[in-house]
Amino acid sequence: MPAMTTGSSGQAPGIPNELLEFWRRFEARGPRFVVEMHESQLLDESDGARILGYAPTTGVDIGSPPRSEEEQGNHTYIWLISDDGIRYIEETPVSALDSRLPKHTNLTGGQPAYIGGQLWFAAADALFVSGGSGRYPPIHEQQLEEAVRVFKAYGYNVASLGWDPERNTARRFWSNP
Amino acid sequence: MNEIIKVFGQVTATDRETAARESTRKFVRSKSEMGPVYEGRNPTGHIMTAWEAYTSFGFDILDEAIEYSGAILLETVGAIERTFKTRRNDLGLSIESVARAASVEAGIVKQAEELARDVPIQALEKLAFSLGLDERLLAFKENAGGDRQLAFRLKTLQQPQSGTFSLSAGTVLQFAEAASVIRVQSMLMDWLGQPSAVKDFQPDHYYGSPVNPAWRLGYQLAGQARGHLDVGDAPIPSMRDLVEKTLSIPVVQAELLPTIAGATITTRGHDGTDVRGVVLNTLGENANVWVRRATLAHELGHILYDPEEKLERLRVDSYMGTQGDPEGGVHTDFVEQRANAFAIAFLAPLDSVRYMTPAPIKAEAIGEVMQAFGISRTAARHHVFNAHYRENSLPEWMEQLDPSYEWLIVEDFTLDYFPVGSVPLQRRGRFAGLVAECHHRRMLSSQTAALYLGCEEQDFLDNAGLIRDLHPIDNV
Repeated sequence: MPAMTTGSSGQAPGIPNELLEFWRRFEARGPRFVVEMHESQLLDESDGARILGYAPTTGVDIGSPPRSEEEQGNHTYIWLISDDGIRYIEETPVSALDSRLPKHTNLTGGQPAYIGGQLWFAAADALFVSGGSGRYPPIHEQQLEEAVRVFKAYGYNVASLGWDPERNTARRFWSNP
Repeated sequence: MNEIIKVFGQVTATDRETAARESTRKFVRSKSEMGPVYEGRNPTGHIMTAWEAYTSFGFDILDEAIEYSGAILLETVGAIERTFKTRRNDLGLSIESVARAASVEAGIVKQAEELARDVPIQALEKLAFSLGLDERLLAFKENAGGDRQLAFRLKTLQQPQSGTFSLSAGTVLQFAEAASVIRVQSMLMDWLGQPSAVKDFQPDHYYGSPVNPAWRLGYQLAGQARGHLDVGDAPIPSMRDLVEKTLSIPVVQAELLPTIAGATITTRGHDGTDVRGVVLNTLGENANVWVRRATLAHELGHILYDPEEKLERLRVDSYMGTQGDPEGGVHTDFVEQRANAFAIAFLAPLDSVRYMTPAPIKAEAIGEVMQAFGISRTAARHHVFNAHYRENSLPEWMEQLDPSYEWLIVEDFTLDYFPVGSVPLQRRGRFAGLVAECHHRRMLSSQTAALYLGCEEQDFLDNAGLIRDLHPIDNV
């Protein structure tokens, strides 16, 4: 994969131990599905794809997660952990994809990744994070929690959307009051 | 790969509906979300087939669920709690009476109304079904597809000043649950290609005049219905088969107050259109198969020909009303008078009855009418008298006649034997057969089948074949 620069203000004290531990504990897996060719097209910085750096992150849209179908939230990003860190891109039409929305596989070029989801920047140093990815879903609740720990290790205040015990899968909406 | 395979897995179908039927992919719904079942996850939510998920939520929701490993169903924050509270208030019931009828603890009902997140989805769905809500739409649609007009009607009928009947809370919930059975049965019949034939009949808004009374119109409508069904003047061998199978009208049997003969319910169907069904009391005079045939014929008259403004979503009929003389003038309600006349003339065409009972009318001839057309003594005496234009007297004394064994067999209303004892009376019979058939065809998951039958999943699985044998769904 081509190298991408971090989206932070440039303070990069190196890879946090939590990410190293995450890489050690879990295996990267290929996507569960790719529907069309363009979904495997690797997007780079010129398309808006970035690697998360230490907080605070600049140049991102501040948003909020959905609370229901009616309150859909806004400025949603998709993220995943690959071998070079946490990649992310805003879920808005991308010109390189003929104005289609990016998919998680556009962050890997269809290659393996560890886990994926959605995130929202509540502030430059505060995130809402979910494991909402069908291509690289969290394999269990603990993996999502470990991923949240990695986000925190980058200096962000992180609120996880959590786990839906009845589906035994990551929750997609902010269910707290 | 295309979007159909993405959503439904490996299927050969190229259109969404056929693919949903073909798919073996399982989905799971929780209180507020749904998504695919990943191998080895063993989710505790409600497992459903691809067909159920597709028909409940639509393709776009399923696509979202695959793309993000879940889709949000919750329409608005607090939708579940509001739905339950609104429904109970609409029905005018207490938390305790709802809990009793749904066989759940009162605490569950309270939680469902205040903080549903702590209640398992299965308990919420069970509660929703008991209240006449569409449990599939819980969280997904405000009021979960509940027919509010029906709820208001049920609330009104609890008030003593509303007329003959003052329904108890328990009876209200029996009717609410019957509405759920009718909704689901209509849905399953649609899925199996056996839609209700009621739409082939046009409601008749005319209830007569002093010179053309309602009972005469009832006789005419009975002739029309017989013509439409192409049964000539022959006896109706099985009212149950005619209503349930030929016309695909749901018939729910229930143990109601002993004064109630039956009822006609209109509720919102799975596709948003109105569906009608019959509730038949198994207690009281309906124990006699001939009386039960008359009750069913009476409700059929309502279902086929009464416009909704007359039925008002629910019409409850007493034995006193359905067994009365249609021309006797006791009815001030023309809707009932017309339905009564329809019922008796539908079961026993006037001309045939007149022909079988030449004057002077003999007791034996009336007995022959009873046995030939399957009608009770009271009904036969009124009918023979009316068939002779109320001009010939009837014999004072008649031997007591009971329905022949053949009548008992062909009508086969008995629900005494059902392989899963825990399945409530209301959900036995053809409804159970349809549930088992749809499960067999992978349209319903075993969890949904158990929800519909009100039993444990394993009990259903152990007896699904037997239920299909007992209540086969023909011509599918």
